[in-house]
Amino acid sequence: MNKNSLINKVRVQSSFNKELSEKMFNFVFDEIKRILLTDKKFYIRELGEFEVVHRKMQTVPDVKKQAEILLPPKDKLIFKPTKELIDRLKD
Amino acid sequence: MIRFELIKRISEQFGVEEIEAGVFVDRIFESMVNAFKKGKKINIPEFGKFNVINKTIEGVRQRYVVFSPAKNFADSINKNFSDLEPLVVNAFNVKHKEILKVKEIIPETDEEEYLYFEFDSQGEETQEEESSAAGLISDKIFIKEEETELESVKEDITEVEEIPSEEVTLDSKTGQITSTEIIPDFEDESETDSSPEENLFNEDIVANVISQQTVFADNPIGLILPEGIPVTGFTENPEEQIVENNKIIDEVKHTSTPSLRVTLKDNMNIDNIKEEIFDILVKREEIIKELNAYSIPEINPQEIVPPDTNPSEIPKFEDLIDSEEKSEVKEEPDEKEVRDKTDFPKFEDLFGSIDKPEIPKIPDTEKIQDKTDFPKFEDLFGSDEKPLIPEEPETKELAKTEDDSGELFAELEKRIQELDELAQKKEELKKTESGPPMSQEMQIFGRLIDDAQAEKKSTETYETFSEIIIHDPGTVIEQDEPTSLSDALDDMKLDGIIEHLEPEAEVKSYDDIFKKSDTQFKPQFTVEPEEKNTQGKFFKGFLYFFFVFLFTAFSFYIYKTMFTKSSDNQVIDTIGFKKIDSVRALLKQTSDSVSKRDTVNLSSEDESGQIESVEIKNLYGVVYRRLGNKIYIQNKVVDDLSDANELELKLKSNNLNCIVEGATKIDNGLEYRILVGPFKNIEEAMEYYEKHKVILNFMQIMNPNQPNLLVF
Repeated sequence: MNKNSLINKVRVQSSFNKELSEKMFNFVFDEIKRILLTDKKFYIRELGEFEVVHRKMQTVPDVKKQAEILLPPKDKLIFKPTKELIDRLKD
Repeated sequence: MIRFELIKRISEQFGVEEIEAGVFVDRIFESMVNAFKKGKKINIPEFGKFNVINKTIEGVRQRYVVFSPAKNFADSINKNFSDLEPLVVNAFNVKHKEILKVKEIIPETDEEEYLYFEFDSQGEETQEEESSAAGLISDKIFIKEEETELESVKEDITEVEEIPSEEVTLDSKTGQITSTEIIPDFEDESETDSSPEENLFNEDIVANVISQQTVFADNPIGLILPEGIPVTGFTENPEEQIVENNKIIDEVKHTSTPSLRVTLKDNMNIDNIKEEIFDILVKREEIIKELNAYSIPEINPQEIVPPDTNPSEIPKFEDLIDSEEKSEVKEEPDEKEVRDKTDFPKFEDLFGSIDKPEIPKIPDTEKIQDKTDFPKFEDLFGSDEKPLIPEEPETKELAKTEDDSGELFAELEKRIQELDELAQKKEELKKTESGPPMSQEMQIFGRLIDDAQAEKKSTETYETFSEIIIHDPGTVIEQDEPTSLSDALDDMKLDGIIEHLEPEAEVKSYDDIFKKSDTQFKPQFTVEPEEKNTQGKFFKGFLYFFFVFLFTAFSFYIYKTMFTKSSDNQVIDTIGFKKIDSVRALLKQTSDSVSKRDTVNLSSEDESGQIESVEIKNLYGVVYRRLGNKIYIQNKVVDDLSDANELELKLKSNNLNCIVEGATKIDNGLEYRILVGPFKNIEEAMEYYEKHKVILNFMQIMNPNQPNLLVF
């Protein structure tokens, strides 16, 4: 599903026009991005929780090079879906 | 941040009521959930991608939503660590099942980069060190971000042990090497490593050292590096230190194993060089082991023959003496004295033997200078065995003729010849002492046995001695002397030396067996029937049936296409044929007048006096009739008169002239034919039909009550 098809679905049910609804849609996800960069956590009741996790550096064997490689640390974004969403997907 | 704040910001930004903004946000997420339910992916550019997968959670397989952020978004999240790249810590060599540690050291100058290769032959023991080394490296690399980890590094520094090492220096001109023991100072070593004075080991120097085959203690001989890898320095058991801004940042703890430092240029690949370096290190150890096995004896220069002589003329020392009668080696002089005298040739150039022979005991140098340069026979062989030794020349004359080398070597040759003669005599004496001489037969037999042993592997000898097994040929000599060859053979049989390979049963000829075979002989083998190739037959049968099926299908198709038209006409245009059939049937039953009319094929009067049309042509279901001199096209046959009149009206409304003809059925009923026309000829009728084909056929469809009429 594209972004435009999602916007159209939302627009039909609301009273906003297309331009405004597109701007609002973009603003919602920009705002989520901004919050994740600052607070590193955002929770949506319907979907789940976005969280920024710090991965420590670690050594990993590389089979091709026949060597052990030290991976640097990394900040990673993960998404945990809620139980409600998983239950709804069962149906 | 919670949802309420998000809704509030939207309402402030776009001037919308909060309720409407909340509804809008809820709709977004609800529509997303509905899409997930259908198993659809959602791609939101510059944010990420949601995907629905099947996943086992607590042993249950169910659908699960996965999110993967967009690249720019992920990079912005990992902004703090985006500059760091993965680093190779340890390189494993599978062939040797050993580990080649690779340690990177921060270069003191910006232009050069050092790599530190450390060779550990003990793989299992070094695992703990690897982990510690990895930890140290990681601290060193990421020190700019996490300075708190320096404390753990400083704790490790206290565990470092002080190991004395040797500093090796080499002069390229003379080839001399001097070693001095040094207790390393941590602060000084960082400076000394980079100084050009100590970067002594170049490729050329190492190659010279190897060509001379000189041995020195703990010397890294055998370092032949590949092209493009200049060796800047060699350290033996150092303890190094990395200093930045007068603070000890890291300290590498080395084991007692040798190590090598190599400068790397920009063009070089570390991965390609690793294996080469590893092989070099392995070779180096092997060469050191080989060289340590040699302990080159020290010889006084006065005793050695000058290099002008050919070494091939001089007999080897091993030929002259038995191994048992080697005398003890003289004590070696000090190393310093030897290193001072570099001009004298080596032991190997003189004697040519790679093995390490021991030099006979030599008297003191002062006595030799007075008398001769060579050892006496008594010193070599002892006083017991000195028969037929010629008188020695006077020592004073030899002392005078020391300078004349020609006379000296002439005497030397004489002495060598004498020694050869003595050795031959000694061998003859040994033979006499071993026992009485054997007889000629035994000698011959013994020679045969020896030849058999020597040429046991060859096939020809195996054939000649195939009937004899020799257990222990050495015992033959110890037995009593037999008088003849037959006696000797008997004795050997008794002792079990020789066994004749006789067959267990009598060998019968093939003819004897064949004669008995009619009654008694049974074949020892039975010919097994060949396995039936059922698979091939099945395949053939399948092919046969397949082709038969194809043939029948093809023939049926041809029958359908070629011959069904007539049959279809019979079926479809039942009216005309049935009529003819019915007429023919009636003709058989009724009078001959009807048959006459039919055969004449002309219009004629009925019994009632009316004129009835006659079918003259049936072309693809279209019946052409002749009524009088004119020809009509039969459009339809109807039972009711009203239907016939309706059709007549419709046809006439479409400008089609037609008439209705009444006729009798087979079962004495009435039927009405609707005939379009009239036409002069059949050809004209056919042209008319082709022009108005659509309307005529449409008119046939119009009346559904008539079952006999079919659509064309």
